[in-house]
Amino acid sequence: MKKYRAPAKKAKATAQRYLKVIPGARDKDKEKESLSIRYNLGLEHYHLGNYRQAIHWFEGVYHDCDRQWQYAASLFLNYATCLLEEKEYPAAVEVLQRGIDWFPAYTDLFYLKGLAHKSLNQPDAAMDAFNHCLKLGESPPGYDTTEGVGSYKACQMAGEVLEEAEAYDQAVKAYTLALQCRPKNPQSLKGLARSLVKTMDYDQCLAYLDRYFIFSDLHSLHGIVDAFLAAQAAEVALMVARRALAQDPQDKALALLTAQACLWREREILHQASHYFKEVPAIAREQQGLVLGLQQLEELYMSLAKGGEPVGQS
Amino acid sequence: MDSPRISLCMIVKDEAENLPRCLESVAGLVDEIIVVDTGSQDNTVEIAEKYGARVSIFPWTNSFSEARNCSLELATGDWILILDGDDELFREDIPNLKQLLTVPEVEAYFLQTVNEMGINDAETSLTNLTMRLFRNRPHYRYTGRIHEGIISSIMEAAGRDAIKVASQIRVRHYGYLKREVDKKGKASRNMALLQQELESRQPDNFLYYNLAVEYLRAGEYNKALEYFDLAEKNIRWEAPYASYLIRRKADCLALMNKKQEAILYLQQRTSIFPDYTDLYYQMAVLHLELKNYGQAVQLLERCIAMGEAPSNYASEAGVSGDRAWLAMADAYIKIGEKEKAVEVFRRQLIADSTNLQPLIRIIQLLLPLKGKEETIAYLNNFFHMATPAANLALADIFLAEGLPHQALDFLHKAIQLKAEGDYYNAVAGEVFLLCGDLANAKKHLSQIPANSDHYPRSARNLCLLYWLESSNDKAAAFLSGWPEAPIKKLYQACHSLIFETNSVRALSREEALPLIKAYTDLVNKLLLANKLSLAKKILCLGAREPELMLDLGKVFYRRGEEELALQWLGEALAAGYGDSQGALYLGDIYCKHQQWDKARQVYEQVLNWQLEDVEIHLAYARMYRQQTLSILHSLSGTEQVCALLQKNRPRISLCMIVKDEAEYLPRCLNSVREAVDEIIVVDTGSSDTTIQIAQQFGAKIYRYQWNNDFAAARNFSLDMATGEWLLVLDADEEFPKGEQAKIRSLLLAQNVEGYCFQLFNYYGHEVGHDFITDLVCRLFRNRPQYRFKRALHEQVVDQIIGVAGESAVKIAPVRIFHYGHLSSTIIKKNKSERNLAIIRRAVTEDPDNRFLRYSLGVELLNLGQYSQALEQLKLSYTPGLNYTSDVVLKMVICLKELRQFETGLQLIDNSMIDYPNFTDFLFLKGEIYMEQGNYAGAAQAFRSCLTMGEAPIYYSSTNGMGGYHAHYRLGKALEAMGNFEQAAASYQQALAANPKFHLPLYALAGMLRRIHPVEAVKQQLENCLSLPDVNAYLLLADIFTGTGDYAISLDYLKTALPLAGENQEIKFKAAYMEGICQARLGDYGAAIKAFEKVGQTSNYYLLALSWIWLLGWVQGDTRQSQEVLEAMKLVHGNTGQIYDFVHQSLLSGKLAESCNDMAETRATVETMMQRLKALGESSLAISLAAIGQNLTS
Repeated sequence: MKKYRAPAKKAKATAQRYLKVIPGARDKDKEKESLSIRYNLGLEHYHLGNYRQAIHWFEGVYHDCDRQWQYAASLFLNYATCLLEEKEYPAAVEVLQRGIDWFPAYTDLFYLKGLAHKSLNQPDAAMDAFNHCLKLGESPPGYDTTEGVGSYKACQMAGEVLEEAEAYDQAVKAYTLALQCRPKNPQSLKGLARSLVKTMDYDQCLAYLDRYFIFSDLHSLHGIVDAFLAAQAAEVALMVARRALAQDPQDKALALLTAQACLWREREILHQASHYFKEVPAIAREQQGLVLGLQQLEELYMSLAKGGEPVGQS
Repeated sequence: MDSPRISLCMIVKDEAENLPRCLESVAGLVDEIIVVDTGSQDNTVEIAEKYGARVSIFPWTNSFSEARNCSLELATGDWILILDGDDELFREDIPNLKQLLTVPEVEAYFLQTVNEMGINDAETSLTNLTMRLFRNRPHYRYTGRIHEGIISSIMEAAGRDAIKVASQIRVRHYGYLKREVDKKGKASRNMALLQQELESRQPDNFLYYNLAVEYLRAGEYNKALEYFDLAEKNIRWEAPYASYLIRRKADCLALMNKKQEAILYLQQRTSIFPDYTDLYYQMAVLHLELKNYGQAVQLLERCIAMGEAPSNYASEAGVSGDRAWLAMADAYIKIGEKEKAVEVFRRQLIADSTNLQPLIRIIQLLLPLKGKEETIAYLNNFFHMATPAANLALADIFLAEGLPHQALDFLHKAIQLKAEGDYYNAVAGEVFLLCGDLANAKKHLSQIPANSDHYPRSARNLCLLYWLESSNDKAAAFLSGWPEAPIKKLYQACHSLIFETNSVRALSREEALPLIKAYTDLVNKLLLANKLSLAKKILCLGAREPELMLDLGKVFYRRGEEELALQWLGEALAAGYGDSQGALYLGDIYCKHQQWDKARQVYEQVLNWQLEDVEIHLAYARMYRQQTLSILHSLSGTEQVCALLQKNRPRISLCMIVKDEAEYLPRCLNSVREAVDEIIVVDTGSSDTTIQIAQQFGAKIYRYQWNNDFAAARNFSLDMATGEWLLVLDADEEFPKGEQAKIRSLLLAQNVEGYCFQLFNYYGHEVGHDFITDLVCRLFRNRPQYRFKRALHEQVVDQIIGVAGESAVKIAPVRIFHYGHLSSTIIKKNKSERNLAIIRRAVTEDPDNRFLRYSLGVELLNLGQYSQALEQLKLSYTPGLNYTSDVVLKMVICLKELRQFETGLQLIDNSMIDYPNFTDFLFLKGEIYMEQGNYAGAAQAFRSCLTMGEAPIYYSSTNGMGGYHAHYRLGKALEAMGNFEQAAASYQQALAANPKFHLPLYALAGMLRRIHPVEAVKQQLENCLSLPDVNAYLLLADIFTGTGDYAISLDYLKTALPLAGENQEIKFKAAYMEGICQARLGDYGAAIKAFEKVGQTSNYYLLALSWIWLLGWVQGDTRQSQEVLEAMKLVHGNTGQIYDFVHQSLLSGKLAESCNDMAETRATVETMMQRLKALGESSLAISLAAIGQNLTS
């Protein structure tokens, strides 16, 4: 799983083609081996997921290039991304800091720096970086950028940092901000659900959701149900689903969603019981059919709810 | 001759309460009573004198021995009997005791002390042997301030043999009852004495033990443990207290919440006292507390099998009987296995038919599980109630369970058996009363006299009878004549409410609480008598007490009065008073009314109180299932999932036969547990933990005496199954993810009797792309006609088709992965040899059986005996059978191996008419062409394979025949034809199709190396692999070793090593490969150093040693080679012996004397020669060749 930027299949094929060409070019023009060629070599390896080789090429360019070089900003972005993929977080921070010194308006670099600090378990530094992202907003035109680094993605990551630091109240705020930018973002929903159940009882969770969000369509409902299921709070998921079903009892998809949440809750209870009671076949017997039932319900729901489109991320 | 005189010697202090009991127990036995009083404040002395005792006042000197010895000094009898004030001799043992005194050579006897244990009354007893009876001799005297002993003085004078055990003579001791201990302040007194003792002399183990026990009693566990440890240090385990020390120390550990440690400790000590049942019981109890129910049950079974501990141990009563049974049943109940608990109680009842408690428990468990009819059927099945008392007891039990009509049936039987007496009348009266036969009830109840033990019960029923008759006057008169008792007040209050006499006197809480049971009984009976109106009239009495509300609620629930139950249970729970049963009832009512939130609140509330009750957890979970079903039932198209979630779906029994499958069984059962309702495991003689593992999965385990017949064992497992469908699986198989759901859906199909699944037989070293598929019938309806046939490769499908027709068996897209053909498994289980033996026997018994011939052919083929295999396969050939294609395929393989190519090709061509899409045939054709050197023909055949793709699933086919294998072999053919470019493309396609299949890489390297410089080949190969990866680098190193580019190999190994991380085996492999490269490069010193880096745990260790040995010889360092031999012998004896033989032969220049394995030795010599040839070391190779030659000749 490539966490930071997954190369698309098409890009991979292209990269393979390029890689065959570039060494040829290099051979032909050995003496004039330009920064661009080395950078592109690194870039193609990066697209292929060969981060180690990409780093090798980027590193050389990093030392040789100056601020005016046309790909300098992108180099920092891609080089740092590869270092993050290879879990070389301190090196990434170093590279990113130099990049930030050269390109202080480039939000993506702050975002990656935040990620590096997060991985290094440096919550304060990570929060500084993500807050700076929000202050800057999205990267200016002309930079390679990922949408959201100056908005919901930074909020999302800030939420995760705060959650890891067990500052759940603040995490709730961060996730809420993220969701206000991107209301259906499943990661933010899940983060919000996780943090909410740490700080509030079930009814308060629902009340909070009502205050800040409108989950009116099935897709959104499924998202929030999924989020609470993932947060091991199936009861809240069930409450959400049941309430929606009460408003529209004829909606078969809603009914199936509610039934799923019920089974998830049952599964949760049995799971907890099985931890408490070792060697109890009666629990195993109750669990029989449960997983299969869930699978079948999910299939029924998908076939009914999607109408050709996938719904939710359960 | 006069009979010997006995002196009873006692020391007493404040024993007025106990002394009469003690002295009465020895009346008529002893000739004199010596009582030494150490300072009584009560009238102990007067009582003693009243019984004729000679009383001596002895000032207490903080020494029990001194007081005891004082009593001995006063005794004049021939024998001394020692009792304490809180002891009592079993009077029935007196005749036996008298006999003991006549045995001339005995000086002293240990008697059995039965220590009653409990708070106020004896709840259990602990028996141990104590020295109580000995001859009156001046040198037999006590020592020790506390826990004084006399044994040492007797042993010293008369020897060990003069002391005997008389466990048939019992003394009951009440001094350990908690009330006695507290009353006398024994603990603090003992502690003080022991401390004095500790200070006054060199402590011994026994003193430490006693200190430990006192600290334990005082709750100072750390201190106690410290002394237990001291007591155990250098202990003589034959000491009388040693065994009990173990129990107390384990108690101590348990009280310190070190239960696991206590178990471990007990387990270790069972090796010292293997027959001490109490240790196993104690372990079982600890396991129960730790919720290790399975282990607890096993230990309790062991206790029961062992029987009570021998009399030389301090043993608790019932640890191999009632207590063990009860604990075992309790364990089963805790894990929700109530039927097993019933079985335990049944066994208990069989072991002791006089105890009715198990019978009551059986009925209590069975009624909610099975209902009335099945419960009674069970009782009739298992118990022969031939006495009036048994039938009366059953009637009474059913009455208590609120089933008067069932009680009536047993009453009738009792009447037929001429039951009589007050108990009979009491039971009969109540039964008739609650069944509405008031006349008969009155007849029986009125016969019980007022002085009978059964009168209170009959009086209550008689009063009830008058109420039911609406006889206000009779009831009032009866009540007025009732003796004064709390219950009278209750009945009077109820009477006033029923007849509205306005004279109701409310009961105070103090009055009411002891009457709750009587009150709820009364309400219960009114409901049983269908007098709800009367019951309602008296309800106002119960409104105030939550305890009562709860009990009343339960009564209403049981009698089906849901509304009232809801009210009372709800109020009790709201008042914070509830238990799991009440919550279960209340939750059930809410669920019935689909009031899910209320049900949830009930369960959550009770779970906060009682996490221990699995029933609540299950009911709570079940509530959500009901909720799901209530939603789904209203939706169309959900029938299947509803059936799945409901328990009325068809049940599947998984049937397995196993032997020593502990390693694989969890994987198998995990893959299938969700899909099946019952797991039947038939064990054919496992010696590992297979059975325990199966038990953990809730399997029903059966043992089966293996008789070399797989079908018989399989059929036994089918016989044990109760599901409507049977699923057959082996332990080395598993369902891949997602297949379980498919299985369930198959069961709903009509007109299908069985399903064939696709079996993926993996072979080679690991699970990957190498597998052979097969179709096997594994799921079929549970019908007695469907049974397996054949001793090996047992089949059931023919039976199903024979009965139901071909169309009744369908092929389902369900996969089973089978790992039994992986080389590791085959080696471990020695399957081939086992199979061959079975199948040969079966063929001898049934020579005309073609399937058996086929099976034999397959086994011979697997063992490389192609000629014999072909013979058997020919005999098995029958056109049109489901395995015929495989018979032909294997015949062709044999022909190829026997180099009968034309016959093979002819057979393929003929068979392609019947099996036109069987890719494996074409592949074999290609292989034969390759052998013949017809590369163009081979290429064409392999291309056809690729066009056809993999064979359809109904063939037994090898994966890759229409894919990566064909690409690879096509590459080989093209390479042989000189078409390198296309060959390279084929190799790359093979790699792309199966990246784990590395042969194409080797082939590609070898081919490219012939035409390109090494750097170019390197680049091309690296492009084929995902780098950086340690395994890929090792692979490259190996490939370039194969091409002779050793320096390149070494470079790759250097690159690989930093990536190996902590993986030692990879490092060892790299070291081994480095050794080979260095050797080939001629640097033998570096090679040896590299080989020496291979660790002993590595698979390469033996190989590395063999290289070091060889290089030692090459370098002329035979001493080093000699040293290596010892290590080789340790790792693998046979290989070590062979190398030793070669070594000695080389040293002496002639064949050494002992050579056990000639063939293996020859093979080893050949390997050595090959290595030497590769190294260019011809002189040593020549010497070895001479040895090889001599071996052959």
